[in-house]
Amino acid sequence: MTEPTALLPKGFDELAPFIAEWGSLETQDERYIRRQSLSMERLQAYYDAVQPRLGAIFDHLDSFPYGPALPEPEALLFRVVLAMSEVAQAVEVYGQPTVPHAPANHSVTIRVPNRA
Amino acid sequence: MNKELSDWNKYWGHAWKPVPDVERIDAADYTSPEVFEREKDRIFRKAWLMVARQSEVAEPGDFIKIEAPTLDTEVVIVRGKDGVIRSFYNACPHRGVALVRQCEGRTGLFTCPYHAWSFSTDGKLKGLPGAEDFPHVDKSTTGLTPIHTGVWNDYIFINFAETPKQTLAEYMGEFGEYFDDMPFGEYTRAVEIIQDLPTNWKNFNDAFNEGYHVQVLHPKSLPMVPTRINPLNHMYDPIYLAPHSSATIQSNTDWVPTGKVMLFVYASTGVSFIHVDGPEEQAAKPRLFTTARGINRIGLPNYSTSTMNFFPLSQFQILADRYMWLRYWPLSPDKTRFIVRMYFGAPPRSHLEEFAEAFQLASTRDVFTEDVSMTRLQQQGMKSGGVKEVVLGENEHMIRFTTQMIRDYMNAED
Repeated sequence: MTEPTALLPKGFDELAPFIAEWGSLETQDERYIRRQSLSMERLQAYYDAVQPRLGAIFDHLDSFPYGPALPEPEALLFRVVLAMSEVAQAVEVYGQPTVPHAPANHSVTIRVPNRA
Repeated sequence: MNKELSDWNKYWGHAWKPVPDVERIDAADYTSPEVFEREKDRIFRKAWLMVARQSEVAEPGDFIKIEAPTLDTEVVIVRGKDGVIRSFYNACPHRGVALVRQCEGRTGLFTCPYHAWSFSTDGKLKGLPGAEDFPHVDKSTTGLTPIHTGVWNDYIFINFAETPKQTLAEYMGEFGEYFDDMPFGEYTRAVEIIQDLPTNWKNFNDAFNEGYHVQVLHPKSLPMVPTRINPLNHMYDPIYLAPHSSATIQSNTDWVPTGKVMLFVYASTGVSFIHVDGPEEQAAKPRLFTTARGINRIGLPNYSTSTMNFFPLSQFQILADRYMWLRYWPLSPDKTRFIVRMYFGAPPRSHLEEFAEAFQLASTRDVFTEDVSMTRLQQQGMKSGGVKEVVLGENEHMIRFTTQMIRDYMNAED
């Protein structure tokens, strides 16, 4: 079995411990639900590892053309870093995984309509 | 600190007196099936309803199919060859089939999937197979049933009345004139959240028309709004142009963001979701909406957002990086389809911009989640029978105003 670290772009190996939790999620709602299911310790560990690398991560990702054709290592890195859109709300805003007063396992679909 | 800002207190809403004297509302108005049926007939079948944006049917032949779920009705909105936007009930005059099945498209002809009756984009019957068997059908007077349709600014409105009491221009009135230079069309990227929620539709109007709750309900998510001199977040400069209304909201320029990811997003994209800059910085980077005449006419130095209520079911919230179009379609006394459509300036052009948008969307969803949670708990309490009426403060004047508009519609002569 291939080590998961092999899948991330070179130089971002230290983010491998977060692939299992975030690497396969495709939508904002999946990330929101995952955020609610993790402990603050796990969310904080992700935050502490990824936040200092944000600049480097996007410098790397944006050295590729924007669109669906990212190479798989970069696509994986992008999925992992998009988790920060949710984790930051838990760590920087609420100090807890969930939104106060929200129902358990709260799900909210966010979509881009075909016609704007 | 901003000592001179207290000069603006005179623009707080309760200093204004055209607010109707609505101190209490019967809890039954939020729970009763009879009231709900009357609201459907008296309000939703009579008022003009903001339902779509012109850009959704930009070219001749472009159509969209939308729902008016309050009235169990699908509506087809189509731009004709002549450029005119029309709306029709999605119902074939032959035997009633909801003939348009796509949510959007471009066509010159709508064809019913049952017997292939076909209709041009102006709704007229163009063809029917075996016409000789329908000698009693006059093609020139048969077609899709039209719904009154009008356009204000970039927005399409429909009216289900057979003969609306007012044209759309009359309905929009001075409010429409005041905001007719708002550049909605410049915002081309739409992102949408749709939720069916167990609460009465009026709870949404109420939730988004007072600032009183912000410090209590959103202490962590909206610290950039209430200020030391306005901790209860009175809304400024309410504009009441019946049945619509608008108000202005401040930002807390004492607030200093500390979240490193939030700072990263703001720094790398140059924009936050509300104006957190002081007046000099705001002046140095004017944004599209701040040039419109209806925005911040009082010159509030720490202007952040504006709200605009289009009676009965729509609200705009004008933010620094986007505007949000809220709709609350009643489904039953206890259920509402809550739609938040956000229009950003442009789609993301880089991975960084996509990340920044995702961050803003998560943050916005969380704030709405706090609001929505209260509307759900309100319904729970009202249904329990434990309160016979709810009480409104003078600072909840915008709720009072819309409640009076609702009463006027409910009690109007036919």
